[in-house]
Amino acid sequence: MSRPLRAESALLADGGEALLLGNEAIVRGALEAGVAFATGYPGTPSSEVTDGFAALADAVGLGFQYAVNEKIAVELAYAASLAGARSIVAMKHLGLSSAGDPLSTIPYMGVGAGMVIVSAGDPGCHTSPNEQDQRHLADMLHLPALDPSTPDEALRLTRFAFELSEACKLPVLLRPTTRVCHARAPVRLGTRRPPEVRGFVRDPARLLPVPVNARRLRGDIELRLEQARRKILEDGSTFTRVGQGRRAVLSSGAAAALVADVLRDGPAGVALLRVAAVYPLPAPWLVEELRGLDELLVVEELSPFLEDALRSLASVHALPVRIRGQRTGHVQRHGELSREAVLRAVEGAFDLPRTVTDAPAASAAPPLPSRPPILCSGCPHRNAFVAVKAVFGDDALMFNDIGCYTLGASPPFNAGDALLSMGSGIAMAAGVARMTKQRTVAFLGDSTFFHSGMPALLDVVKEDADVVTVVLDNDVTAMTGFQESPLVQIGAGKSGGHGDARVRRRVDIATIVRALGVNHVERVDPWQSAPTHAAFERARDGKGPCVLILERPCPVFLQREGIENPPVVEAPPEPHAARTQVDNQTCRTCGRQALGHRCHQPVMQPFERSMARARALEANNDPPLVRPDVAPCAGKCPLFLCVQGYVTHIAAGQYADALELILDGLPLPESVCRVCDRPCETACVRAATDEPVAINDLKRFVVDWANRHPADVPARATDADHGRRVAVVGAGPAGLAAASDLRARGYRVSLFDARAEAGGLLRFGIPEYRLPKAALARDVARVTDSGVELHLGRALGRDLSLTALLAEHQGVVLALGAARPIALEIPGAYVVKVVDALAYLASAAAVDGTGAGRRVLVVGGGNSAIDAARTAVRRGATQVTIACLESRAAMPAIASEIHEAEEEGVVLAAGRRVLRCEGPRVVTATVERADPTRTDAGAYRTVPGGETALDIDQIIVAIGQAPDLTVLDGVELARGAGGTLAVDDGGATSHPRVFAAGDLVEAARTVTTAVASGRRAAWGIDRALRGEVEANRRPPPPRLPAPATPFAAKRVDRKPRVRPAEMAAGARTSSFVEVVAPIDEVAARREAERCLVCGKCGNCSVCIEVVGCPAFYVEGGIHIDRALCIDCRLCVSTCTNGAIQ
Amino acid sequence: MSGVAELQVLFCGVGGQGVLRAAELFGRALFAAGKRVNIGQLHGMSQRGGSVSSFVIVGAAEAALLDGAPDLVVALEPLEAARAADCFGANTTVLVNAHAVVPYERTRQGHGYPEQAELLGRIAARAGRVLTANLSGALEPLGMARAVGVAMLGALSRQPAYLALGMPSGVLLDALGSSSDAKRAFALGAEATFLDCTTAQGTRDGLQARH
Repeated sequence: MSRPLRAESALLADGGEALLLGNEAIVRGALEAGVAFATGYPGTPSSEVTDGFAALADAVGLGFQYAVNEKIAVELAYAASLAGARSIVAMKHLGLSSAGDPLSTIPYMGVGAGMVIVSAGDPGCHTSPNEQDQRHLADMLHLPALDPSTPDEALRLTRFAFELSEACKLPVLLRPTTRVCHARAPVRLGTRRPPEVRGFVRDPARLLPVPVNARRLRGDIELRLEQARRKILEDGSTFTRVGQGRRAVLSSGAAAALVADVLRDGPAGVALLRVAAVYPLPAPWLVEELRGLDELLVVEELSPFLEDALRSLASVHALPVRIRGQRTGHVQRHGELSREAVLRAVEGAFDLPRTVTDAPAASAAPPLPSRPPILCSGCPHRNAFVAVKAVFGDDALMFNDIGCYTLGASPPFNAGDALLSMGSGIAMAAGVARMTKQRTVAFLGDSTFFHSGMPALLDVVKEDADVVTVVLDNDVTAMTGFQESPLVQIGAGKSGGHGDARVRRRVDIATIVRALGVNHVERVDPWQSAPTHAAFERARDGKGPCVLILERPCPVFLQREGIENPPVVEAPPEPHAARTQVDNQTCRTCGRQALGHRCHQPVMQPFERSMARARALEANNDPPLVRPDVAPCAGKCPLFLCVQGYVTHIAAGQYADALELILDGLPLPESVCRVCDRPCETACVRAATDEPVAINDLKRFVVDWANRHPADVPARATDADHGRRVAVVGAGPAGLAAASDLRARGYRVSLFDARAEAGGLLRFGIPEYRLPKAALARDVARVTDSGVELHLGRALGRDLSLTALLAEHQGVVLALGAARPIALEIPGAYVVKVVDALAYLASAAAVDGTGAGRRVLVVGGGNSAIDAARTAVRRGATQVTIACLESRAAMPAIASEIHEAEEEGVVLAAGRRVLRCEGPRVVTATVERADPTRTDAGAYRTVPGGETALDIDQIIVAIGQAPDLTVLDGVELARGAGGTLAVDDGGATSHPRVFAAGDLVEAARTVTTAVASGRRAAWGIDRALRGEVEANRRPPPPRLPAPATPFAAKRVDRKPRVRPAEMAAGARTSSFVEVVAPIDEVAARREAERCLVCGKCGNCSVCIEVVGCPAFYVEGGIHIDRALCIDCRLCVSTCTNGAIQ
Repeated sequence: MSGVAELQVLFCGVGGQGVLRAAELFGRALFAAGKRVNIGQLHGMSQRGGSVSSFVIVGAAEAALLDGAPDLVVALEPLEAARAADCFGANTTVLVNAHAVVPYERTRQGHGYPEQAELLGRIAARAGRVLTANLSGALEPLGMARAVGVAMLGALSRQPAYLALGMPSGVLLDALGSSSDAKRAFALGAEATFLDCTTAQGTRDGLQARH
């Protein structure tokens, strides 16, 4: 792309020849014509014209400025011409339409001194959204038009244009195209004339084209055009014939140079009619030439402008010449001409032997990777698009504009739904917002804002449109070559270089925007991630017009000028001393890897995009957060599930992959997703800022989805059978888990249970309204379907003996649970019926009216007590009270369960001890915690004076259970605390082939802990029987200590947690139907997006997928190309593993 | 190939490497020494990171477009050389700076750079001669990575097709101005040993020799 010209000595010298760009030649031609004022608006391929005048203005003494837009530029140039100064204005082809209003009236009024309009065309749309044939505009607006074919011709035509303009008093259009503008070729230099200003001449009849004047002035235009024609004919230099013959090619502009080359060493006997003045045409000369021709081929680009004019001439003068060109299909109708196309046209039109062979077929090899334009590395606009996608998501409609930031519409951001013209983003956003009733986003740059964004913004304010306008202010008009914008003056006239040559003007976008009436205006530095994201969030959540101004100078521009980019407000500790680099130890490293756990899922795009979006909300520019290897939720999970992994899969809509991660560590998903006590949620980082992610509800969603899509459930990976046999005694959660895990390890497993149905406490302890039988049955089926042999109704000590099992199997896992209830001595309990909770719950599963009318007291503060209380309600009890020693806060029961119980009418009397019964009444007393070192009843001391009495019919005792070890038939096993068996980290007992799991060994008695315990025992047995290496291919869930420094996110958007639907309290107490419903897909994905993905992940491509900086490349690992990186540090704050320093 | 061109040189590479500057320097040097030159551009997006090419036509051609195959190709990057290969001919000698710039699209798809041997193969299938050297690699430790275009001009100055123009020696060097870094880079390119990768065996040998 072009850059402001350095002062070329060639442009100031006189005589001789210089190697100049076509655009430079135009500048030189104007200087030789004594131009006194130059202006324009940058636009490829014209920018070097304006930049050339900018660089030389001081040296030459001519007036120069960049104008805010092309319309103003034309008006300024016309004004100069009225003031008697030769003026020139330059723009690209689109700018001519932009300036259409004044241009259509100026010909009526006529110029003062000569005025030349340079409008550079772009056949082939190399740098434009369209191609236009401005010759038609010249015709329509009555402007003489000149079309140069080489840089040398461009100089001469520019010089002539001023003379022509003064001869006919019309502005003259000079229309070079890219091929001439950007070619460098030898140019003959004439002599410069000094600029002169002759003064303004009053002439109101001419200069005020009110309708009465306009009607008269229209007639003058015809005279002026006639004068132009005469001048062109007199001058004679703008048309010529080369060669002899009755066949000729007529051409002008860039095409003429091609034709000249082709005819020079091509067919003899074909002449070339070369025309540079294309409107008005030198008709008399052309008619004479046509009389001498039999055949004429017209070669031109974009439209048959000349061809139609010649056909018209030939018809008017009744000439027999046969004319060919675009209309006859010999020349293409659009795009840029090539040498081959011209040669083919000539050969075709004149029936010559074909010399053009079709281009050799492009190689059959696969296409080469392309280099489509993307934002430069370090571009400040990048974070605007990272932030807008993270905050607005994929559904918001976004409207882009013309500038470097147009590239926000490219991957990876794809932030752009339509693009039209300068400043159009705002009006497009407003127009769509009105019709679709959604908040839309418009992007535009500082230069574009001034060019035509301000009126559009005013319109938005007037209509209170629901539009967020993002002004990307990078100080300069970057895309066209770093020209100054109304905001910043760049050392005009200086040859540029060291030190800050930029001067900030008084124009301030924020002030203008507020003055236009926008209230919600924010300025932010896009190199600072957190404030930028926060600003976009506020913009998203606002109503009506909002303007965000992102300010950071273009680093490429500053680099060229040798200026340091001002650092971010909080200067980093060592100002970019070390180059930004990727630490491949941490990049794409799973934080669970060190413990032997690593998911086997490949790097997948939607997954990373979701993850990155989640983490982008937390990004900030501080020294990187010290990320934990393992996310806090996984660290607390007894099963060490990769929570962030499956949650992110849910956010990405990949439910099968989420399920795979869940099943990897959890063999009983239906049960756990309903009854888990959710230690993960207490550890969730969001607990400190809003509410923890509803992790278990998300798990339930996936389980529910899997039931509805059985075909998508991933197959389970099972090791090959190796014939070893293991017996598992007890089909509760621990036993089922151990059996399932051992089966996966290739063992032949026999699973025994004393009862008639499997499940243990899951079946007989947890009521159906929490865990329906059907759901449990699916979990059990999952275990038995894998090949585990289930033997029900076989009790250890009665039907089985441990010794016999050991004889028939290589190992035995005891998962007997804690089946012996701990009794409570209640003095005086004769009339009142006392029953233990487990027995009550086991028999409870029917609403059979047997509890009707009962007044029930449940003693105990754990989940069994709550279960018993809620069951009693369903069985018709009229009054249910729970009394427990613990205070409400200290109760071991799950808080949501307590809450639901109270909703159902259960009365909680926490901090109370049962003293005695007096007939049909029970007396309780207040207690307080006296001994913090103990956890049993002895820790509580009765407080005198707090006794109350309650009329009851039944007491249900739920103060705890203990294992029953009497069934071990004499096999000696070491004991642990509280009546448990002592085991090591692999569930091994003191007997080498006996292992134990679940409530039999664990202090914490939850379902999830039991499942973990079962998996640990399975690993332990495998280690004993097959060795460490084999066993460690499926490592057990580790027991992790709490992290020394809990991880805290710096900034979290507040979003409410999803609440699964629940049956109304009144309805639910009349049945055992499940109370909690699963959440739906939309809610699940929204909730999953709340996960901040705190822990390191090995499946990461966030830097490439979301940040999209071209400095990243993949070679083995991810690396940063030092040639491209400019240390903007955006990636540092968005790296999800904290691997970039 | 055309009657009007004495020499056609194509310059190609990645935006930011200095392709356009190198072409301009070359063209200006020959013009200053009395040749008629035409310097044009093939328009891709020439912002940093995009494909860029420019060409110098020595001779009487008016249109700024290559006429047939170029005689010499100065490629600052191998993928870009391969991209331009369709216009190469049996008389084309291609000088390739063997320094890869990975396109973002490849990275985004999870791939690395295409195999250099494959790229060289594509070039050799069309061109008469293919020579490679890693000038960027030699310049980087000297802190002159940006001067790779100038270094390639040094290499160009030793090519038979250029020498056939009969320019006085030092024409290119003089055009570099007074910068000692530029002269040093030019000399490095002029003295560099280029490996002939015109044949598949040569390519293998060449790539092997590099390691």
